[in-house]
Amino acid sequence: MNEQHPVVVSIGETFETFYAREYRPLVALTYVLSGSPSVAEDLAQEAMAVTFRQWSRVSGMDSPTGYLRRTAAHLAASAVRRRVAEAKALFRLSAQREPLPAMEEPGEQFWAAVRRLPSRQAQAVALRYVYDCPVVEVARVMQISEGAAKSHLFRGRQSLAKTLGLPVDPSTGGEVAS
Amino acid sequence: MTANDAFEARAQQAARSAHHSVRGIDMTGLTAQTPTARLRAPSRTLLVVAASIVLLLLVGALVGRNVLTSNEGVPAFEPQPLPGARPFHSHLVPSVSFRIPPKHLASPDQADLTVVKFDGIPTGGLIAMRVRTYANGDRRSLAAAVAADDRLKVLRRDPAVVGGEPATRLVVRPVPGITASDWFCPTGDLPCFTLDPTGQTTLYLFKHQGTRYLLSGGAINDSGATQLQTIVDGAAATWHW
Repeated sequence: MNEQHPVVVSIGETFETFYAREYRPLVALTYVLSGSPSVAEDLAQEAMAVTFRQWSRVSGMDSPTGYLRRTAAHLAASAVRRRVAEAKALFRLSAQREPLPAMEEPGEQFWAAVRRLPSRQAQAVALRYVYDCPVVEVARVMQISEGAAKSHLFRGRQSLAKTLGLPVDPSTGGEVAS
Repeated sequence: MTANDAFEARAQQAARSAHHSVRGIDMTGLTAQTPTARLRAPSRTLLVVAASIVLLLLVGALVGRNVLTSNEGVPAFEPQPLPGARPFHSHLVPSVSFRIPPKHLASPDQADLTVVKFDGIPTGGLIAMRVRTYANGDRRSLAAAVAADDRLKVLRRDPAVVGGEPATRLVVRPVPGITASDWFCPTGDLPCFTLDPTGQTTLYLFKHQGTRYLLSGGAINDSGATQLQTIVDGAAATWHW
């Protein structure tokens, strides 16, 4: 319905400002979660489009960025969405548009291991490190309790350390540094 | 350097790598593609091949979801205010309705899954869905399957009636470490909402015309869960096929 009418923003910043600030880091998030540079752009644009359609409501939220990041993380975690985005990326690449460069090692190795985690753990780890945000922010974006976010991060980190051959710190006791 | 430091350093290096790779990204974003890009349209053969791939992938994904998961689709929270207590008509098949308490928000729903989020309850909501399969296997009834699920502790079990059908009312508590994404959404794609490990949850389990249904609510903390118990009971009491 919103797309049929002008979007009226009564409070907060304009969507253009929001877009300019959030787009690049959002692509980084969808890139690490999808593993494909071309799919990452389509997922980020889809998340932006969803946010734009809801902007009159989203701009009044406590955290429009949280809504955007949550939407993007969900889109990246959905197999169907990812495959649709892959198909769109195929068309886009056929139109000769330059895709993002592939990520260098060992970053790619780290994120490939993240993508093999259960999706909620992968989302938590990606939000934590791509945005360099504390656990409480991860919890807020994922709309889960701080304890649940810590649990996802702890389990994800244990699995990653094992996969990547990093030492596991037994002293963390389930706590993840904020 | 501790193990924690080593991991943090590796993760931060990977994050820098991700940001570096998007540094030169095109910021045209939501604007239309350039005319030149449109002129260099893919060939007809490529279009047919790509469309076939998309179709196959979509069919495969849908079949996979139907076979492997206990619910379909994901809830999209787009709450709309309801001015007062009135029937909420879900898109469940067959169609049902139940009364929503006044001054709450209701989200649009979809076939097989209804999610109603309440503004007064932190991250809390009512969920009604068809259950095709249950994660720990089919048993003689859905209530028996849930009762045997070691991810949940059944605190209370009572006979009930929902929409004129015999039902089972369970009050359960997820065991520590179990959240809604582990239980309600086995695929982990999207959580319907989050259950705090300490929170109690009311479940109504019943059958109608050979199909199993689950009506429940979830909240992020105990007080929210307590508030939702009465709402779930209210929805069960006013449920109409």
